[in-house]
Amino acid sequence: MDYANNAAWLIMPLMAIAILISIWRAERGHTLFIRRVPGVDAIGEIVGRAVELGRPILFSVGLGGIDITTLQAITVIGHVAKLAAQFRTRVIVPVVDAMAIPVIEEVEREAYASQNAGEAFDPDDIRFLSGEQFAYAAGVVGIMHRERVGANFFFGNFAAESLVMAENGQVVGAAQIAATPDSNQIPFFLATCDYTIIGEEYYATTALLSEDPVLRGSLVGQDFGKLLLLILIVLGVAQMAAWGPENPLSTFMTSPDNFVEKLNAVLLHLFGRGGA
Amino acid sequence: MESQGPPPGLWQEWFAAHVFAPIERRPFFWLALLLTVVVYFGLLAGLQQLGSAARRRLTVVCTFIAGLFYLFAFFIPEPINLVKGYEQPLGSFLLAVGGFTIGLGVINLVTVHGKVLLRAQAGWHNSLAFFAGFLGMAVFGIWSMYLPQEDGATSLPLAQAAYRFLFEGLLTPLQATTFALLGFFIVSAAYRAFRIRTVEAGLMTVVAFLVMLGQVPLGQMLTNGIEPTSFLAGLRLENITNWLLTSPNAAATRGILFGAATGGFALSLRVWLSLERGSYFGKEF
Repeated sequence: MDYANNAAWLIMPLMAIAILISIWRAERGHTLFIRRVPGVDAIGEIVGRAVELGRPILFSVGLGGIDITTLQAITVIGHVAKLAAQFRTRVIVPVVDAMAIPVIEEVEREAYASQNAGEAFDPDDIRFLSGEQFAYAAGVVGIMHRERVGANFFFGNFAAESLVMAENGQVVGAAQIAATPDSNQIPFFLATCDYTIIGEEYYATTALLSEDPVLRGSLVGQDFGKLLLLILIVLGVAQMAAWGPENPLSTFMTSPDNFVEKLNAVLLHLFGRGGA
Repeated sequence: MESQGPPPGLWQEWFAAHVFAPIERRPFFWLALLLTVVVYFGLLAGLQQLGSAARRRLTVVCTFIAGLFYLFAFFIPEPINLVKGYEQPLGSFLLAVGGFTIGLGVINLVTVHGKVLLRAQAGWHNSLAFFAGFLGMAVFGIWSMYLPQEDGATSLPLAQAAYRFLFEGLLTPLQATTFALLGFFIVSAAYRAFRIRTVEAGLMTVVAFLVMLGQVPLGQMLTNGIEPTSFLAGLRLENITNWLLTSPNAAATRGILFGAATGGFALSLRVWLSLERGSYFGKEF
């Protein structure tokens, strides 16, 4: 899609408004209910198990570069590193994209420093392994076995290598949490990890780890977005049943002429020139 | 709207003619190159001088402008969209900048493995293998690039033969081997997943069994007795499998995707408006 159609013009601004209003309400002190996610609650427990065993923690951010999914994972690295730093435990982060190295290094360094454990931080624990999927997986598996990691965190976008890594985590006896918005890898993680954070729960992790009104408000705002999508799905199903694929809602939503274009046409008609 | 011809861009022609035009005269080319290097390192030095707060403010401004650019490029149609023409060149620029980060990766690898090797730590032979592979690939790869290509040559020069051996004889089979391990791991993961300990696990096992049976000829043979045109055709195993995959499974998957998409949208909005929390964003949560 080169340009936004009517569906994008309708849904995206409404969702953005719902999220911003929820954030505003949360900042004004409104109490917002958010259900707990067992996988998020278990992060401290999993770190604790690695600490008890005296083994390092491995945190994989998957195959993504510096994108939204990886940024979320990096924020969680900060939290995990803070918990680990309290007990002088190492957090090893193997990456597939070298661009992530300085970002993760800064986050980990700050996390250790905030717990007065700066000396426990080793920059060599943030390792670029390879840009190739299976070379990366083999590298991660090698670290798991050589370092005998006590806990594995898999946060981010994964592909077929997810099972190779998580199964080897089982072999070394590591406690494991996986979190991914990618529906294809969820079954593999469910079968191999102690806890799995799926779909939207992935993006809710930071809100669940904190009481920050911006994060919690944003999470509640998302629900209004999903409500809007649900209403559109119900309307779409009803219209599809009544009129078939050429129903008015589908035609309107997928129309390539959005309302800015129509506005421009009106301007052209009235003044002889468009908005340009 | 599908664009007819190249998308529009404000002052695009002027930029193409005056800024991004090839410099024909040699002295001007070197002068422009020198100027670019001076400006680049000047900017870099300037950024280094900035304090932490100023750097974060700069990041906030850059993020907002970049988000605004893509917002305009996507939402505003032709002919009033005046930034769409810069979308592709900007993408190429980002790709080129991203390419430089491979240097970061090489430095990281050499540092980590170099230390292990120099201190003769446990697993030093792995680090030695890294240096052998890295240098071998680099030397033979670059060397073979500079060899003249001879059509119909029956024997390969040493550099090309060595490079081909390293790439096709080692790297590709090793990657294929790691991929092939998946077959074994799927069995062990399935064994754990299909242990019936709860009602949900039992349901999943039954459904998985039906889906697997419906995918193989032997399973399909079991319900061959039901005529494909009869009213009981829905009970044929391949039809049950198809229904399980395209109805309940697809519905659940789409539900997850909708949730993930709204979550990704909210996070993108927070990053764009610098509302995101976390040490990297300068606001602890």
